[in-house]
Amino acid sequence: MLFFLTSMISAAPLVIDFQDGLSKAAIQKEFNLEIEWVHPLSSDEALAYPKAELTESQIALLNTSPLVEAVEESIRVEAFDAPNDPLYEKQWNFEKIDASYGWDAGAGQGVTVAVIDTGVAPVKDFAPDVILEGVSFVSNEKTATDQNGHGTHVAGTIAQYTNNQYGTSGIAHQANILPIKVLSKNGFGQSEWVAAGIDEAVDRGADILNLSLGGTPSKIIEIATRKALDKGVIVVAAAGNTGRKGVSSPARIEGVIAVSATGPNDTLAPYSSWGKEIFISAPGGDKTIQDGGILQETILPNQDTHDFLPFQGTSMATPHVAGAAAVLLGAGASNADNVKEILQHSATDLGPTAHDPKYGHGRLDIKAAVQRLMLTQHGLSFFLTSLFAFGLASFSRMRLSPVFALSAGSLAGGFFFLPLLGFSAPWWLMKTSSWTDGHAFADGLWESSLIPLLAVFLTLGYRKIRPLGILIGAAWSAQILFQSVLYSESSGLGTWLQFGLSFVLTIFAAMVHRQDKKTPLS
Amino acid sequence: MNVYNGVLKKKDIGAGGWQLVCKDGSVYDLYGNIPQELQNQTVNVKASATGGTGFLMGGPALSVTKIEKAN
Repeated sequence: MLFFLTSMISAAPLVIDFQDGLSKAAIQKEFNLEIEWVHPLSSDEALAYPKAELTESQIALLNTSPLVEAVEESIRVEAFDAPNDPLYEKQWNFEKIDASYGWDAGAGQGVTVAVIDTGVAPVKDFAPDVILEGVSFVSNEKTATDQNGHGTHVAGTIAQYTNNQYGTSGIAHQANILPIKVLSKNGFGQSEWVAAGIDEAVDRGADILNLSLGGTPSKIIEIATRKALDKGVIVVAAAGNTGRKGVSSPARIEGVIAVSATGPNDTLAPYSSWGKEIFISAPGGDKTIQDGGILQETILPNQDTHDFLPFQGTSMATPHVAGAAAVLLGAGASNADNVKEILQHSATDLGPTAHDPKYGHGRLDIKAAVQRLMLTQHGLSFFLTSLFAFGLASFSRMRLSPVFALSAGSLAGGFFFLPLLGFSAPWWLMKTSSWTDGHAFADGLWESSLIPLLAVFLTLGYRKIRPLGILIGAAWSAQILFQSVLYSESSGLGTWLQFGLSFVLTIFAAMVHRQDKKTPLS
Repeated sequence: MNVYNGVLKKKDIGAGGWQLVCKDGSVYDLYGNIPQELQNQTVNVKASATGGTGFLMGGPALSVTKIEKAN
């Protein structure tokens, strides 16, 4: 199911954004105004509600004061199934990778993605201020605007305005695009332009470099890329479009996230290059299939007009991954390694199990990636789950020793934390890949939501181990409950159904066990 | 400056581009002003082979300085 946050203005209290750091006392003194912070953590940003209704003159004073950054009505944010961009329904690629989960996770806010390409044209479907001031390294093309259409299309996949009732969506539409022009209007770039562009993007503070380009391996491009990687910048590059084995450079440089392209059917696009360096695959379009291209607004080559055009290429796959990386960084991923780890383990495995030269670790899956990130951030739930499981065990008088109950509860909590988050990879598939990938077995086990159900069912018939099954079921239920209470933004109907199912099953098992204890074993 | 001989093909990648498919099977990406009417013709291409980059990524990139139909 898709969820998307959109805004609906309703009659609501005013919110005042004072200058950062302004204290309650200072506000009282300056405006004769009693306020309360929107949240205890909002005092740094001085975001406040007025305690009493404001008069028009007070509002006018606030609106003109240099100590006030904004005054507006509280905006209610609601979940919708899909953005209202009219062409979203043709963006099969975003549906495929569950891009909407990235929108719920902040859509890359605060992250800068350098699009090192033919430049970026400020077409209508970019939000104001999304495109930063860029730079051109191309001889005789002094500005970073795009005259080809390629760079604008790439930037559009990352950050085209979303839910604006116009055109298409973008994966990380809250991120900033830094246009670094290294390819001319006909798409060609000298290696020194590309190397200088990479250096400049890093100097300007880019968090992610999108390199939808490639060619003959170049020492200076490799040096610039290595410097970027050493500084912790995420570098994402296109595998190439030969349709054969052999990954293009700079994608083949160690540490770079090399991206191959898939089509609407989740098979490798016929033009996509492949090889052992492929890290991940993503939709790049396949125009041999009807409406199989990647649609974004861009300009027409060497013309002053713009349109929504379907492109294909590993160039188009690359910004899907760069956008996903921006989402993860914006949502709190700690660094490039963390982002790569999440992308690797959340990708939907295609082709032979585990890593393979065509799809890498699999096809990009933003839903699973965001959920995996949440897992690492919300480790507290594991502790709470264990504690609650122990409490339940004691309460149920299962006559387990506290140490055993705590161990079992911890185990149960560990088992059931990840399935709650909805990891969807089929566990039996992942399990088989354990022979080739050391991490996959554990992943598969964590990701299987069948296990808690099986645990309860399988132990029902055995009196001695039934308490463990009950404990597991209880821990799973508790985990879901905690998750819903503590992080309610991530709980949907599915979460409550899972909770209900596990809870009812656990109660049932407990009743069976209690009844069974009253009758002698046959 | 080298001269390359092959068939000029249109490549539907990204914003679109041109490739030169040579008799020996090697493929070059061509960047520059390419006349549409030479599509699918055997052509001689004068280009620098300094190893540039581009978005076509179908083969080594050539910056075309002159292209003409081969005799």
